[in-house]
Amino acid sequence: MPKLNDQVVQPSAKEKLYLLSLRHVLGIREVRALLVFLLMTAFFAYLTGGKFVSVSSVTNMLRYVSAYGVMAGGVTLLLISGEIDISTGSVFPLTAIIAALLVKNIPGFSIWLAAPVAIAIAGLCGLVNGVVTVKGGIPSFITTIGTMLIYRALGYILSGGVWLSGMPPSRFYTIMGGKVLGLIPVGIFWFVGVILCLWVLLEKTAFGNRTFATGNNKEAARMTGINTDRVKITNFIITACLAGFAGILYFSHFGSILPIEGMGAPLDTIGAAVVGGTSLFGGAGGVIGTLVGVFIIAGARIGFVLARLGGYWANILVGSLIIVAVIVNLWLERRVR
Amino acid sequence: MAEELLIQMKDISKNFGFVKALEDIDFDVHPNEILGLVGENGAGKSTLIKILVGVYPPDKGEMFLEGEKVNFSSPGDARKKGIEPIYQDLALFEEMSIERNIFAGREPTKPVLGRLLRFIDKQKMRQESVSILEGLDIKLESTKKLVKFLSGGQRQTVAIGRALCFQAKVLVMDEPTASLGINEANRILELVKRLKEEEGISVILISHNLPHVFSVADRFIVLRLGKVVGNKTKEETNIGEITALITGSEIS
Amino acid sequence: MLMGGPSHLSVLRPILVIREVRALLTLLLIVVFFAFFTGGKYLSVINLVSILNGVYAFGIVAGAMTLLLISGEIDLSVGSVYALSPVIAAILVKRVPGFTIWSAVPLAIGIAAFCGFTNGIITTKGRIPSFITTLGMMMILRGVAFVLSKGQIFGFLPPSVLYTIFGGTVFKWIPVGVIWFPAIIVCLWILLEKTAFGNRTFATGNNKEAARMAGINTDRVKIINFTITGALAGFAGITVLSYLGQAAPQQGMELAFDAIAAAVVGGTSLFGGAGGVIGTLLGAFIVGGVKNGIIIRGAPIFWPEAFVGVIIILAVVLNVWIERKMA
Repeated sequence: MPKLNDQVVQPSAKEKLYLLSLRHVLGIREVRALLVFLLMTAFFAYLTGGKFVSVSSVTNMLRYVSAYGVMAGGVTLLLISGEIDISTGSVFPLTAIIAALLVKNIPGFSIWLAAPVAIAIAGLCGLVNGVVTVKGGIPSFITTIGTMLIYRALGYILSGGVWLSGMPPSRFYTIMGGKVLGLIPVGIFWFVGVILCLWVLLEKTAFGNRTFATGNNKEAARMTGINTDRVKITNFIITACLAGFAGILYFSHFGSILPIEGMGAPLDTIGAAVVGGTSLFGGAGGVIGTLVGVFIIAGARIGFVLARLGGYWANILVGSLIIVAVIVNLWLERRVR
Repeated sequence: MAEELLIQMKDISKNFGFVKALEDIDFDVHPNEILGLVGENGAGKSTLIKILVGVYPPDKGEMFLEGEKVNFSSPGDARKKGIEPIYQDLALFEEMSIERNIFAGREPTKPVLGRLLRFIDKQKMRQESVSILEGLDIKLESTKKLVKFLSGGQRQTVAIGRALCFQAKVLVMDEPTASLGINEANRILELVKRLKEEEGISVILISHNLPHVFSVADRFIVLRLGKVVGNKTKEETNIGEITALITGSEIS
Repeated sequence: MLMGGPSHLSVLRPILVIREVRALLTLLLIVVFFAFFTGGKYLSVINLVSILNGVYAFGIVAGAMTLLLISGEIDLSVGSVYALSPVIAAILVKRVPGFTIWSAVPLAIGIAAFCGFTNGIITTKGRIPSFITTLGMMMILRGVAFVLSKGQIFGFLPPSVLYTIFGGTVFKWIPVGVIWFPAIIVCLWILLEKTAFGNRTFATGNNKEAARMAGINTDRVKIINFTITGALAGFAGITVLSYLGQAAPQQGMELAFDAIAAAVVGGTSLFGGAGGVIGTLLGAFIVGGVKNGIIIRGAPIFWPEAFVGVIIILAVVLNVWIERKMA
């Protein structure tokens, strides 16, 4: 008797045809995101008479992507596990502020030590987000709206509301925030590196599998013995740490930090994840899509400024993109059922 | 019997994609009868009931209510014609009072400031709730009590009360005794019998609990894999035979 | 099923179940706390007027938000509508010939209502969570406000009685908004408690499926509540325009949070199905009172908002905990 997996089943002609069909290809979220990106690039290239694809504009985009992209990656993981984090934009400057203050005020404390400490504190913020949400039984967007306000206030209090700058020079800043070939911000490599690590975490590890399971069907995940509370809290911590890391990257590149920075981050990062195809309801999504999504959001922002329409048009576009992306993604998901 | 049928469903079929949920079903309900609708999970009971109650239309077939052809486009339609469903999860509003639950969606109103505005007629709502519930022999201090504070049997009674408020002709009860203790289950079954005998309402009882169904039903319809495999009155049959029909096993 | 517990708790139980009582107690606590820590300055007439000034605008929005929350949805875009509405009115009056403030205001409020309506349509027909819709709309509308006004603040509008009606003062100091606010709350209360629509709002928020089965058009209920929220957000913006004499596209950035905090502190559940506008009225005073108290104590910028954040979290956790204990 032939055993079950003995024979390799060749895809039938019909199946092969489907895989090549437009329907299937468009069903892949990364492809859709890429299409949107290409469309947008074409649109802005036209609108700005080609300035959009100039070296300086591309470098600007890469800078933007490096900071917000890292955050968006963490947010993607959290969304897949079924939760959301609006406080990333506050953890972002807070971490940089803490690092800067440690270096400035404690003699002998170098940035090499201060940065990890600050990121660890960011992780603590994520822990608070996670514990309050999971143990308190509150929806995460409420918790993180609350902590967003609290962490931002902390940033103000600690920094006294002023710019923090004038740090003693260190190779640290070059590694985290310098430029390669005099042009390309090093942060972009960090960003891609982080995304790859997150991809591996999500697709190849047991933790990633459990993240999907928790977001897909929390009760069922529990039944199979997955500690959904721990999965979610861990993801909150990861998100906050990455937000802190992004803050350090930003600070290393620009050399200064204002407590008001990052206010648009929650919207832009969630927007990037959603436009990249991650479902707001959890259980589905991917960081590669988010990578494309971040470029889309970055492109929108830079593009409108270049087209002399002002940054607020970008808000209009990003807001609309989020709504449209969610509707389209949802509609497609429903069609599959 | 030349008696006019209360409900007649003829040749009902329903497919979901490739799944044939119901195939050429004939389903009748007589006036003043308690009908037990039984079958395994997936046999098609809920689908049949959802069609009857107006959640979705059949792909094929017709429905008649008291001899008149009917086409329901929504559950609201079916309710207006007197078909009242009582779902397994009872579909009650936990944070609202008993009286508001009973009248949700059909609130009695009175004009205020001369037809400018309409307010809920609290008096009428209260009086009618109280009289319905008293008729169902339930002891409650007040109809203002929130539903979340009631026991399982009390909730079931409120759900029945809601169904009865509006000249129901047929009650469709889905697993009414499933989550009740022995005493409460017996009370509900007694209630069902009284509804048939004293109010002349027909009841379609869907249940896995055959002893319960047997204690009150006059007739049984058995569904298996989307088809009717048995239609017997209580006198003609017994639990063993019904069980065999449900599972499809041979009776030696 | 009452849980066993210390006997003194059971005596308090029947009173504490009432959310308005909980809110009132909290308010009294806050007042006592701040009065003590500011050596009575908190209770001075000037300060009380200052509190009233800060409360009525987001209080009106909080009332509308309460209805929306009860029906099971949320609106984060109210701050943007609150800014957009007076900006539109000001632009119409100053730039478009033939528009007086009397014709501009209804149009501006109409547009605000339409924004709310759009929120409702997208949420119900697009079947997406309202906090996403309104998050996106918040960005969009704020962007529109800035684009239309080119980032400028509008002032020096030609004088009109309208401003006195909506933004004047009573007894020399008390802003007239302080009368509008409770008046609107009363209207909302009547709508919620006395009409069939109010009953259906509760039902929709409580158990949407059951409400549908009962024949209630849940989409319509939600869309109406969204529209009311938008309209009142616009109205609140107009009252502030009338009082201050200027329209700024950046105003109201924290309005949504203040309104949600007021509703939640007042006992309205974020999960829908339960709540009340009287509690929200008290909640608005609590939020306003806390913010004011913190500012008086000399705390720097963003502290008050941080406390609003704390309030929101605490209030929700407490309400959830109390609900569990009472069950």
